[in-house]
Amino acid sequence: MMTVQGTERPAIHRKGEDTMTNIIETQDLCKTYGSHTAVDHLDLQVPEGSVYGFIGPNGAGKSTTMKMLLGLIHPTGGTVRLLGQRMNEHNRRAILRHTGSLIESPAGYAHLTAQENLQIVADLKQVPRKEIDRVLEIVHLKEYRRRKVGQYSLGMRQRLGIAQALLGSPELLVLDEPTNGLDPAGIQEMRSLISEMPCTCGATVLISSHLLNELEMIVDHVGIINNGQLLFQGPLENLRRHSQGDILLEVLNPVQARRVLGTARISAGDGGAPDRLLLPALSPRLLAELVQQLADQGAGVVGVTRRTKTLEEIFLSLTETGKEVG
Amino acid sequence: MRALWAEVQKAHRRHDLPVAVGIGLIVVLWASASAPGTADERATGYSALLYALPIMNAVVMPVGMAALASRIWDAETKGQTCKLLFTLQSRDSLFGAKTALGMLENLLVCALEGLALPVLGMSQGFTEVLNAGIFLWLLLCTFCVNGMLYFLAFLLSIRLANQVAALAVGFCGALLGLFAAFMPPWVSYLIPFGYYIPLSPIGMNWDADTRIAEMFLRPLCWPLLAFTVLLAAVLARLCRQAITTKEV
Repeated sequence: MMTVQGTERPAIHRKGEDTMTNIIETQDLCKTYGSHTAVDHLDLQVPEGSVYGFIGPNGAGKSTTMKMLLGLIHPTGGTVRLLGQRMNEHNRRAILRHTGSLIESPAGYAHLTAQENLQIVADLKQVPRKEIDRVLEIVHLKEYRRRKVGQYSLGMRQRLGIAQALLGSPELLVLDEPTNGLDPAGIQEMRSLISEMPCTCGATVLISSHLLNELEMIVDHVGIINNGQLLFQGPLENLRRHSQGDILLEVLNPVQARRVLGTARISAGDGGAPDRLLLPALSPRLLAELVQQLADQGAGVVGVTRRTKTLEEIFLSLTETGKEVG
Repeated sequence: MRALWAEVQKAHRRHDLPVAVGIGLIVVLWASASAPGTADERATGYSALLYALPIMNAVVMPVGMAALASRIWDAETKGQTCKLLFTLQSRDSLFGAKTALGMLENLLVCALEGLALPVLGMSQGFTEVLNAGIFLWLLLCTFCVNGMLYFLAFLLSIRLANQVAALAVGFCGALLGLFAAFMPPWVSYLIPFGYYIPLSPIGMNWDADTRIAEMFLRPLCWPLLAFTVLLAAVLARLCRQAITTKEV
């Protein structure tokens, strides 16, 4: 059994296939509004069984892309493949019946109870109403099912939105900023809810959020978009590998260490203490050679720590430089 | 049918039924308050009511239909549900279901008016025989003009997030329609809000000297009714287009 690279979560396979399939594939997807290009030739690939984090600054094209995936807005160009089928006007609804979505803000009729809201969605999805109990249980709203949605807090409405998306056990969940407006406890709850989706519901999750630290804890694949263009896409581990952080060097003889580093033409910064030096990111081979030299020339290497960049730091460096990561 | 059932469920606790009944009741109560009282008046009781009802409709229905149409769409605007619904059902089915619900409510309003007329006649002791053909024509015209106004308000509700716009247009339309009734006849053809009046099958001659009003039958204005239906169809098509092209 294959696993998604860089994650412990097992990948889900379609019967009779021995390679991992993409549940979402777009090719040259474009959307322009007048002279403004919101999405620019996007080739998105979301592996089945993954939790795919779709990140980018405000106005990067995340929501536009997600809406195009769901057929809510028409692409200017390009194609969308969902669940292995190229989506068009004829098969759109049949495909979307196997998906659940929460775009921007949760939908709900304020004058109706959660139960009544879910009944409407279940009827339109042609899902048995007994499913409602199951999804209310998942989002912990069972005891509030008889309360009008207008009396719900934002967090409860978000959870109701997730419950609506979960009706019918969809193969794919598209969640756009599902933690928007939630308090820390609500964010934590939502985080655990979403990260469990592939295991509890067998659903692939495409999620966008601007809370990168939160996203980092639940996603195993990442797509970074800026100005409508995809800067990186792939397993989170790959992104980290390509975006190595600084190296903290701890030595007994800093003067000697600086001399060796100067000879090797490596700039050393202040590491926060006299015996600590901060080195730029180095390849493993170069780092090994450098440590060897430092040890041979009496610098007294006590410790070498590679600082891992957070997703936020990687994201900021990518969106600032605009460079694609290979 | 599934889409219509969803609309019926959405109408639950939105008080659509009381609102529709209320619109019909306003006209009925107004009609009963102005129902003929003397023996002479009772001899032309139905004619007088059939003459007065279109005027009452011209005042009440533009606002009433705007209220019904805007309530039906407002639920989607306030609930931000279009993003969800467009992934669950076809846009055509959403339009069809909302149209069906709106027309059912319109039918209820017309049925109330239709039911009230003979009841009023019996309770007030009208001696005139109710002309069934004229009675049905009035109901048909009321339904068609109501429908046309419903689609106009529905279109405004879809296009504009603020539902007050549809109500404001309905209110202004009611005033315009009423004023048009006192203008030369061609003016009333320019104001669709008041089409109830030129479509009315009963006319009245008022002799200022004798102060006697005489009711008379007018030829049924089929071309105007056909134009009303055409206008309703055009507005319905625009509503459908507004929903099918709506980007959310």
